[in-house]
Amino acid sequence: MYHVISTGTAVFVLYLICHFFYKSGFLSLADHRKIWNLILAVTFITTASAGLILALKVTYKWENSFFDSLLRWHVETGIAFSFTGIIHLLWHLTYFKNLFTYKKTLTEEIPVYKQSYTSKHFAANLFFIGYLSSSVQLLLMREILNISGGYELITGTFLASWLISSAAGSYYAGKSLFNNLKRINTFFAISPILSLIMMILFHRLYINPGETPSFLTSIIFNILVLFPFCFVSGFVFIKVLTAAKQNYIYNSGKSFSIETTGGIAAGLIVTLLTSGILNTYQILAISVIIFLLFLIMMYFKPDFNIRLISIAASIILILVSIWQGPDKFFRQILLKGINVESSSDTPYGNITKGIYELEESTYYNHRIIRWKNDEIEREENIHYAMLQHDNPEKILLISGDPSSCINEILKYNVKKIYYVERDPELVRTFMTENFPGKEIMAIQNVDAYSFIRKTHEKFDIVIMILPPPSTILLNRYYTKEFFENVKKKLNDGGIFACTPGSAENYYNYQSASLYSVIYNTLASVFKNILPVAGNKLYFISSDNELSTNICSLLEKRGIKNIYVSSDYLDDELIKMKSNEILSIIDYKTQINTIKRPIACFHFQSYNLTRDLGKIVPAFVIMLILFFLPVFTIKPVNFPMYSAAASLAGFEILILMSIQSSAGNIYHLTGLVIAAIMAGLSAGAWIKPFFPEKKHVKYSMLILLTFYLITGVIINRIILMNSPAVAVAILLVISLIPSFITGSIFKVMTETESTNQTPAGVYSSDLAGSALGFIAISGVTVPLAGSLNTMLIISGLIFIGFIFALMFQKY
Amino acid sequence: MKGRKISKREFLKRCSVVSAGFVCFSPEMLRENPFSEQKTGLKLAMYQEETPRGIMCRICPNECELKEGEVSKCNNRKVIKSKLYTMAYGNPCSVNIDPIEKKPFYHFFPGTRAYSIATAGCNLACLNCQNWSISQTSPDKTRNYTLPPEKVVEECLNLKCKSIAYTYSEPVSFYEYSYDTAVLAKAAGIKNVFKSNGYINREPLEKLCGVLDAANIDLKSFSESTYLRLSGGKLQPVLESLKIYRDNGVWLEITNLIVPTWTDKPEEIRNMCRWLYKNGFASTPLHFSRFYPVYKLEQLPPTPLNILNQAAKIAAEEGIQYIYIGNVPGNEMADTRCPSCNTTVIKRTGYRIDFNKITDGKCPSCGKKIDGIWN
Ligand code: SF4
Ligand SMILES: [Zn+2]
Repeated sequence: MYHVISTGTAVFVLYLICHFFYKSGFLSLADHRKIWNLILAVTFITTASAGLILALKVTYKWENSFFDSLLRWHVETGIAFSFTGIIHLLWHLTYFKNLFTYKKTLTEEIPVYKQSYTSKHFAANLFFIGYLSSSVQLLLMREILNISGGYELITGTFLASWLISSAAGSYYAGKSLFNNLKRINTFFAISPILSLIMMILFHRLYINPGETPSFLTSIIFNILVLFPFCFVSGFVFIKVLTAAKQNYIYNSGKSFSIETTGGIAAGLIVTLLTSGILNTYQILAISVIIFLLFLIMMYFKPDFNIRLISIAASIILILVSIWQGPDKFFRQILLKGINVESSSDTPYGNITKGIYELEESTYYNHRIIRWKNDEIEREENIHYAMLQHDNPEKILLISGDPSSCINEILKYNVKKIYYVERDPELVRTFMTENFPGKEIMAIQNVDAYSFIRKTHEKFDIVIMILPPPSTILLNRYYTKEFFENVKKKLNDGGIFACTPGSAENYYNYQSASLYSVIYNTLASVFKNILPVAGNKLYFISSDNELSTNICSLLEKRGIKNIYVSSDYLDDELIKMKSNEILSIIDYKTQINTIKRPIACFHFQSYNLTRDLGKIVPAFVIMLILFFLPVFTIKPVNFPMYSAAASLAGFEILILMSIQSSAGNIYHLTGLVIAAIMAGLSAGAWIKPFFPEKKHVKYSMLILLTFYLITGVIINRIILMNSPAVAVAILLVISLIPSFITGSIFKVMTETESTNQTPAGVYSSDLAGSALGFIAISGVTVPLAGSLNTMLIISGLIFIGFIFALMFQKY
Repeated sequence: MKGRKISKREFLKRCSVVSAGFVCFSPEMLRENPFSEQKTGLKLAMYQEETPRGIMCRICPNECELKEGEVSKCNNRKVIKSKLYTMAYGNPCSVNIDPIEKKPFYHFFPGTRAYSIATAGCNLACLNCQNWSISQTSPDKTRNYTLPPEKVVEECLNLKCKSIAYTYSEPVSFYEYSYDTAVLAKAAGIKNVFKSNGYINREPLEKLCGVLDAANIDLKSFSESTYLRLSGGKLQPVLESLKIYRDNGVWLEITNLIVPTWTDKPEEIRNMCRWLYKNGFASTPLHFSRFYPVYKLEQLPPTPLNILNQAAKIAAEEGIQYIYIGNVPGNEMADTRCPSCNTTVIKRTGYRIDFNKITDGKCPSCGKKIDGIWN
């Protein structure tokens, strides 16, 4: 525990005191500054020298308690140093400001970009900006989710921080006079590296080995890591866009569509490459290299030889990245202490194999999924469910480690085992070894949700070893829709088992709510539900009677186990614990459905109770970050803000709808995002279809009508008989609002008005999307359901429309 | 006109912020205790002292100094009208029956059951707390049973448990409740056992020892800095309380949970064993326990068996006589062997005793006394 807040506050209080003395005449300004320069120097020297000694300690493995205390001092003075540094930064703010605005001295007018750049040049520049932004986004999102636990709230926070930081960058671009495109682009090219450095640095400094940080820490971590890159990316986009506009090459709408196209390209390429071809850091390295090459070619106008050398150097660097990817290195840093053997990325996650003290273990998105001596886990996973069936012959195993589970399954007279896991790379990892029973195993590389719906097989037992409903995606497996499909595929008296969380000695209100929702959802489909509190909490469901007499059942079958046995368990105690869980279930609570993922919501609140004292500060920060930007938005730009927020919210709804009707949603998710971006891009490119002065108002009206109608018909679409047709309709539908939103952007950026600049419109667009993502996915959908969310979205558009009526008077 | 514009804008802004705030702080998210009627059992706290700043609690080395209305670090003490009150009296949130081996106690009435109680709150904050949902909250936020000391004793007798275990969260932080219950239990012939972090001051501990029969103390690490980072506490006070338990004749067992990358350095384990040996704990059972990813430490692997075996080896080399490996089903380091002739005197499978050959507290083969409380 280090005292970030206390040390920081101490420094600031000291500063305020000192400042007071100076203001009241006790100290001269020079002395005041001298004191703080001294403090800065002292903290710097202590931090640096302690850091150096620690580095030596690590290298030469010196062991002494002195070093341990040194570490504390290193960090504490580091904190003091940073805070003192911030104070200094504030003093010298004007200096830094001038750095960005030095052209002001040359001429009062913002210099027009009379450089001889061609349209090709601008197109390429805009495209690459979009491309690099999106690929860095995909990479950082994966990593930040891995680090901070990957639950839905983190995803929302990530997207919102991303958009808000970019909005800040573009907002600032509208005010800044720093116009040197060459320099700005160079900054942009190196900013991903800056963000990566921040990520590694903060991870090392503030996150303990193996620790999942609190939500509060995660928010701060998100912002600090994303800010350098996103700020510059928002900045560079507006600058290039303005340059293109001033050179009469592209209007803002067109620039926006080219940038968006770059983003779409990044999404497609990254998804393609991560299917076993390249890993994320490799892709990032290559993207940065290509961008740098582009910069050299376009902005530095080198002669032929230099061109040749640059191209050759880039090719070599790319080959090096492919051959010796940086992924293992980064993974090693992030999984402190574990000896990383290999790391590979798939479209679904990261698989890392590590060795710790001669024992190999496998991590999926940084969470351990396979380790040696896993008797407790594997026996509990299998036997609580299988013992309930008299003669289980056909088993369906959803996820989990089959090479380990099979040892348990084979203790029964099983004829066939189906194993469903969507990540082929993971299956490969599990199936490397030859293990008994492999021959009766049928492996299905598909999403379990669609497998269950489509399969013609019927099973005696379905055991689901998926994580709890921490995300909307995982929530699907705990919905009424899914359970109903499972039941259809069970033989008479079939058993279904799932594990929505860990068993505890006490269930707090939030976990009780989570388990109540899941219990009730199961109870809406199955006649009997038996909670079994092992190390994890198991819900066993069936239409047949279920029994807590695990030990007697084992004895009757003559099954010998190591952990699930009377050596460790006692039927009477199992029953007591089971009854205890039944006693905390709220039988009147809601049911979890695709359209109302309430279990996912309860999981988030349960997760937040891990740091009870930090919930309020975390929400205050969220509020300040994602809701208060509304204050910086000019009323005239509010229609953009509301259209963007609505579109983001609509995007989430479409994604959720597709989840309920489609099979392989991982690819479809990419497709939906691409469709929406394409709609935006097209809308921003094509000439407005209404008279310019009326365009925004009319468009808002169309959006309003669209969202209202969609709200009414969306359920019908989801419930259509042919999922393929439903998905196609949803995809086409999503083009409409994105196209209109894109055209609103185009018209608003092109209308010459003193208080309406592309920067202002673009930052409203980003800030609005931030609000849409966080509020719709995190709050309104789970609490209000999708139909009400459509109403809220329409309401938002209506407010935007009013603003358009009031303020858009050109 | 301009004025109107601003006020409209202000109005909308306010509306949006207020509604956003409302949505964000939706009562669902923060709702804590729907059972508020059966909340706290307030009771005047023991070992409180007035200081210039407020009231100081002298129970544990945290020595919280609280002002009016402030809540202690252990989340279950509060100053009300200038007096310190415990909020954890007669209101456990977790009540279970466990085999005594689960605590773990291997040398204390083997094969018996312990009536286990815990209230919310703990004076430390371990990153790997298994019971974080009780330890890191306070009794007014949990669903509680109404179970005053006399009722605990009564229930324990009804359920035929040999002992009452004060466990799961941290009994030091519900000191008054456990002390009063222990006094009654002792009178009723029930044994009292503490499963504790040992983070307690001398005076309260000595008083407690008068009614306690056994304690299993978590010695979380043997490095001050790791203690601080992992648990937010200090090592030295724990070592002191081990000595106090020993000197006051309470049966002691020690648990060392080995957390990969945190507390698994062989030198550290050796130093710990050396200290234990030098300070007269050679015959105190030492349980090396396997870590599983939990709470904040979810990105670590379970402790490899190699490490646990190596730790056991080190302990043996340093002269510790009874060494066990816990949380590893099916491992062989669960049996009790005679330190002198190495005969297996108690054979265990899981929590089950396969045989217990100890007669009159002695090894049947060589007659050496096997330390422990056997009957
Ligand atoms: S027992 Fe609780 S109140 Fe008393 S000093 Fe320890 S943490 Fe503070
Ligand atoms: Zn002997």
